[in-house]
Amino acid sequence: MGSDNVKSDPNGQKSDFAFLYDNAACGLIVFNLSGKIYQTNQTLRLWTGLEETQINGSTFSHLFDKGSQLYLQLFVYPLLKMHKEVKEINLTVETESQNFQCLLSAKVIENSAQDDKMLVHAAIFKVVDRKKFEDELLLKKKAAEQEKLQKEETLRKVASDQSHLVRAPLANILGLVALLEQAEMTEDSKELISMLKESANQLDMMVRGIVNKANT
Amino acid sequence: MVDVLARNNVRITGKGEQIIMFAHGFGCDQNVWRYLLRDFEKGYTTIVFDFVGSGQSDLAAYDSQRYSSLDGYALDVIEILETLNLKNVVFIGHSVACMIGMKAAIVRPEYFGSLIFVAPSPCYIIDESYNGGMQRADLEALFEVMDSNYLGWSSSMAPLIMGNPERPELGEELTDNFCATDPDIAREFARVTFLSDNRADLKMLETPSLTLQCSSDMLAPIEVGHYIHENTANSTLAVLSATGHCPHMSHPEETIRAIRSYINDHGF
Repeated sequence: MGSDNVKSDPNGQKSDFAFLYDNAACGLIVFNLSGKIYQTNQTLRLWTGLEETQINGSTFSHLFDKGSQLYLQLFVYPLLKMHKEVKEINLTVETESQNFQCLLSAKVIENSAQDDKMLVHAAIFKVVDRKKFEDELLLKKKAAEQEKLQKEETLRKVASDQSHLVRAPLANILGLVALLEQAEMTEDSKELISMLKESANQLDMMVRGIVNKANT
Repeated sequence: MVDVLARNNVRITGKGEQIIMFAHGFGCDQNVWRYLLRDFEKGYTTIVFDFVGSGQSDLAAYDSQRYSSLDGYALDVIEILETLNLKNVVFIGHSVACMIGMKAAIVRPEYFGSLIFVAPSPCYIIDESYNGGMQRADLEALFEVMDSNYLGWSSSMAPLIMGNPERPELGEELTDNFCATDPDIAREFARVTFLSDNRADLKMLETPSLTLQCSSDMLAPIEVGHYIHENTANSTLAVLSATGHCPHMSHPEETIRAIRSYINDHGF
């Protein structure tokens, strides 16, 4: 490529780095950590509906809605200060004429102990459609979670109710067996009653197990 | 028994008879104090820690019930001082930690010599007679931005959140995890921080306090500093030329000067 960075596109239009910068597919901005804007590209000015004289020299956080401004103060500026970089922060651009969701990625390119001398390069991407997609996903996720909770609750209730319903006649059987045991009868009958009692007890334990499981 | 010092990732450094305890604000951890520590470690014993749910604290110790009000966080402070058996401490809190320190000092005044509030606010919401700086809708908008930025965070950040508090040589690495917080806990902490009204508590505070108010802070307008000063006994107000909400990070020299001047004047 050499030192000559000026090229011509197929239509003969001049296309150099400045052209690329100004017409990039994302908004580009330079500001300091106190928030003062030094430079913006044309894409960002188009997206925000602001003229060069309006945006350059103004305050970075003022390009965003109140929630995003608070988020910048609370998280993004301290992160830039400590970490020198933030990636894909979802904010809302809000100017007099425009309002859209964006992703902000930024990097400190000139470090200094003083905020107003710490220069930050940032790129802003419009994510209007992507955000709709994300919202839709989130909605589905919440609905799925809700549905799962409801299913679990219904299952728990069914298990609990059914086991209680089964336990009532079972308790009767065990009670009647106890009465039968006191009656006079042959050895064979006694053995049959004992087997009946054992099976009923086993069934009772299994039902109790289901009730306990349903309640945990 | 709970190991409070491990739970709250307590670190003690510096040398000096007087103890200074630093408490971080919402959304951050003890790393925010690094600039101030460098200075105060010379001449003071310094204590930094992470509130349960923040930084390298024991996330398993987080209990939604306990931390559903600032009193739960105040208990963290009290338990640390109790464990270390300290009295007459200079407590420096940032943002929400100011009100946490105040609540702790109301319950256990003997633990505190003085309180230094960095960018405090007893109530963030505007009402008829008080300019807290924000409308309820602004805060709801902030919670929304937080939610949309935590999306996809929980699983990818989890390995980073697992820390090695017993290995201080990882200090630099910890900085990389700065502000890494469990999203569900952060969501609850944000609501406790921004929706609580602690104005009535100011009148109950007897411990001397210094309020460091920034010149331009969208989270705590200048009126808030004056409100605290007028409604608190033994209060000193210093308005910094620093702007923003984190003067201890953005303007550490000015913040250190203001704190030193106060603690020297008060014989600490």
